[in-house]
This record gives sequence, C-alpha cells and structure tokens, in this order.
Amino acid sequence: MLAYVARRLVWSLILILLVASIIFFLVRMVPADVVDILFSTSVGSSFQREQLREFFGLGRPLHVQYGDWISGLVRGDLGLSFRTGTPVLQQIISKLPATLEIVLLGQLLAVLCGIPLGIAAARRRNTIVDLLIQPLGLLGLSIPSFWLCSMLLIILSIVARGFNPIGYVPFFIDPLTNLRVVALPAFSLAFVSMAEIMRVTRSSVLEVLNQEYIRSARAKGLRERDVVYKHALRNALLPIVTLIGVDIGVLLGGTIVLEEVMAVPGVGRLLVTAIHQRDYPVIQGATVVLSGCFIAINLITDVLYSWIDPRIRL
Amino acid sequence: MTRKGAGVLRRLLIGTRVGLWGGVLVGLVTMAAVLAPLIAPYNPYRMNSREMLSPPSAQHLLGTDNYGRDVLARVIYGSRVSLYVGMMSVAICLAIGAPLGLIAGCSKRLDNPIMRTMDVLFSFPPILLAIVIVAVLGPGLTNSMIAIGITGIPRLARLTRSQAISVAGMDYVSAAVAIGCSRTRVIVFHILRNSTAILVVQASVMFAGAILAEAALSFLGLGAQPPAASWGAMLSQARLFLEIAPWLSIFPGVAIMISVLGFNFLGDGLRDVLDPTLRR
Repeated sequence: MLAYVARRLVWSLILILLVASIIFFLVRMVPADVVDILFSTSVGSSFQREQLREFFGLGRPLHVQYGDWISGLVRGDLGLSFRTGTPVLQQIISKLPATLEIVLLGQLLAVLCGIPLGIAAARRRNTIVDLLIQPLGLLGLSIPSFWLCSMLLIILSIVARGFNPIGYVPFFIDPLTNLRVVALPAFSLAFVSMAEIMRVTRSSVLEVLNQEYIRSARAKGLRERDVVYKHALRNALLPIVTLIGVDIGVLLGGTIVLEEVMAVPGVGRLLVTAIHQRDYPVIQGATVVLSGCFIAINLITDVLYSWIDPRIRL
Repeated sequence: MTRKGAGVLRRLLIGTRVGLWGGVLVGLVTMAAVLAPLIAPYNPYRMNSREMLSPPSAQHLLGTDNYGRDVLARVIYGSRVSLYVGMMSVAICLAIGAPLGLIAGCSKRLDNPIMRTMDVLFSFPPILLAIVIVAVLGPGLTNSMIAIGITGIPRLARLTRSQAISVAGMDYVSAAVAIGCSRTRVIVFHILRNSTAILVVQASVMFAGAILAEAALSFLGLGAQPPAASWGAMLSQARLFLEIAPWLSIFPGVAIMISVLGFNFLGDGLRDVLDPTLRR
C-alpha cells in the first residue's frame, strides 16, 4: 500500500512539473505580450518597449526564463505579477479559499443529493420515481451552470427584493454574507455534478443488485434497506468515487466562469483577468495551482480506490 | 446511408424513447440552423436604435437586445454557430484521439508513451485547458473549436484504447491473425470497426459537451466575437442587463439547454441501440 501511494505521489509531482512546463511554453506563444498590451493605448518608442521587456525579464533567453520558473516553482516561488508587482503565490493564496469553497461546497451538495437519488432510481427501476429522476439527470447535464446561476439570480431578485448576493467576504469574517454569495454558484455547480453522480450511482447499483451475493443477502432474510445500503452500495461505490474525483476537475473549470458571473474574487477570475492582460507569471501560477488541486484530488481518489477495493492495490 | 445505418436509425427513433426525443430536439436545432435565413423574422445583425431593449411582443417574439437587434433571429442564427463548433471540435477530437487510442491499445511499445502524454493533458481541468489554448491561439470561433477538440482528446483516447484492448482479446481477432491478416488490416477492419459503436455514442456526448464549452468560452469573451450571433456571446452581453432585460439572458440559455439535451438524449438512445450489453 505504502509503495503504491509513494509511486503515485512521485508521478503526481512529475505531472505538476510537466503541466508547469507546458503552460510556460504555451504562454510564451501568445501573439501579443504584456508590453504590447501595456502600450496598446499609448505610443511607446521601441527603446521603451525593449527596456520594459528587459525589466520583466522577457529579453533573456527562453531556457534561462524556463530554468528560473521551474527552480522557483520547486522552491514555492511563483514569481512576481507583471501588473501589480506582488508575489503571485500570495495573490493566489488570498483568492484560493473562495474558489475551493465553491467547488467543495458544490461537490458536497452533489454527493448528498446525487447518491440517494441514484439509489432510489435503481431500487424503483422503471417506476414513476425512476422515470422522473432520469430526465432530471439529463437535464442537469444539459444546463450551462453559469446560465443556471444567472437564472437563479433573476428569480431570487424577484422573489426576495433587496437580495443582492454580490460582494464576497471570507467565511470566518462574516459567515452569513459569505454563504449568501457562495450559495448560488455552489448550487449551480452542484446541479450539474449531481446529475452525473446520480446517473452513475443508478447504473452501478443496478449492476450490483443483479449479483449473486445480493441474492444470498436477501435469501438470508436481511431487510431491504440493509441489502441496499450495506451490501449493494458498498460494492457499487468504486465508479462513484472515481467520478467524484474527475468531477472536481470539471467543477474547478466551471467556477472560472461562475466567478465571472457572481464577481467572486477567486483564482478563476484572477486567471481570466491575467489572460486578458498577458500577465504571464499569474497565468502560469494560477494554472499550476488549479491543475495541482486537480492532480491532488485524483491522487486521493486513487488511494481511496485501493482502500475501498484491496484487489486494486498493484 | 448503408442498410445497417438505416436499421440503427430506425431502432433509435422507434425503439427508444430517449432516442426519439433526442432525434426530435436535434432535428429541431438542425432545421433552425439550415433554414435560418428563411425562418428568422429579421436580419440578426440589423441594429435599430428605436427599439432598444424592448421586451417580448408581437413584433419581436423574444424581444430585442441593447442594439435593437431581434433576439429570436439571433437565437436562430446562433444554432449555426453551436452546431458548427460541435461538429468541428468533435471531428478534431475523433481524428486525433481515436487513432492515438487505437495505437496505444494495439502496440505494447507505444502504449506507455501515448497514455502518459494523455495523462498530462488530463491533469488540466477541462475548461481551463481550453481557456489556455484559446489564450495562446487568440480569441475567436475557429480557435475555440480547436481548443475544445484538443481538450476532448485524452478522454477519447482512453476510451478507444480500452475498447481496442477488449476487442483485441476476442476470438475473431485471433482468427483473423491466424489466417494471416496483416497488422494494419486487423487494426482497421476488425478492431476499429468493432469499436465504432462506442465511438459514435461518445461523439454524441462530446457534441453536447462542445456546445456547452463554446458557450462558456464565448461567455468569457474568448470564443465568438461580437457581433457574431453565438448563444454564449449573447449571454455574455446580456449579463449587463440582467435585471432590466431578463429576456436577453433567458432565451439563449434555453436554446443551449435544448440542443445539449438533444445530443445527450441521442447519446443515451444510441447506447441502448448499439451496445446491447448495457441495455436494461
């Protein structure tokens, strides 16, 4: 087990380094750089432009810049923002809680609703319950979460006048205001993820319910609830756990758009602004941190996987 | 259309309820896209300063936007953008992802390098990868298609690989090898052909995902550029008028939902028809 975790851990670290390298070279292929954007509204002589490039360290050979970026990353230094001059890591750390809060709250909601609904659909297969739950699942997969969020915003502003969930405050400063802002995007993300979890739970539980050991569990007179929750669900959990891990990646991407809708100052918003401003260090840092979260979640999923099913330990 | 294709279509539309619904919804969107110049009540780009932000009425069934452009016409023309993006990005994804998966599944030597490369692409959250690629290539519709296509490659390659491995273990493949078929022939005529069902299902689901991704990219201002009538771009502009002109936000979103739902239904229906092992 330990060797397996260690091997996965090393591979995850390599993945992060590869992601960091890819993003470094991708960003430098962007047509106009930060200096062009800065001078887009004013005229600057080519000498001024060169000086500014020199100042940002963009004049140095590519392999030197790359070496700097990777060695900085290993030491936990993501460089300074081109626009604000503050350390990128510090900026990201101040914005990360909002993003993670939305993603984790959304996924928690999705799991809490998705699994029971999926089980209900599987148990009452082809009944009215199942026939109602299934389209709900497809609907969830088909609604753009950022649109759902705007619609909920419109509805809430009509139903509850004066409801203005704009202006993010950290949870520990003002929990109520915080939740009021975070609830809508978290719910919008949850709806999408819930649909997927529900569908996978349904098919996975259905598959397990056909197994022989379920028949023996029933034959020895266990209550149906015990059969479903203790025997079936436990064995149906593997694909669900995988999906939850993969889904967090989708949610991490989804918040980038939702943060724009709700003006939540998260890492996604930081990234989109940085892209428009060609703020290379921030683009690189935000991408690495978001991908790093995703890689970490996948690592945890894989370890959980082998813990749930000891046969997978390789 | 081949006889087999017609049979699948008939079973899809008559045999499965979701398939029928999918067919109807996708048919509706396709009709809107093809017949746009005939059915759109106005020119989707014509501005009219006297009718800015007017709510839905008999003249403008879905209202007008901040430039006085007819929302219904723009929603109808928007279906062209969505279908085009969906088609091209799925094509890009299939053209690169399927061969990669096939090669990885059939070659012991190339399996590891290909799949580890896919792992690296897979470690970017999906939309994030698309956003970064669009940032590199520059905002615009063509570049979003490429970005969305690339984003789908790792998932498709994984799927094709696992399908190829399971097909390669079948007796008819051993038989083909035994009677002396060349490697290429076995891969193309036996393994690929017996993997098409799963690829068709996946293509349908990917189409739905591509429409959603295009909407998200355009919403962030990275996809279709104004004045293009794209549903995502319309939603992006509508954000400024969310409270005073909610119709601007409602209808493009409904259009996205209908078309994505259609392709998801179609995917479910196709899975039922093409993959009897999953039919319940």
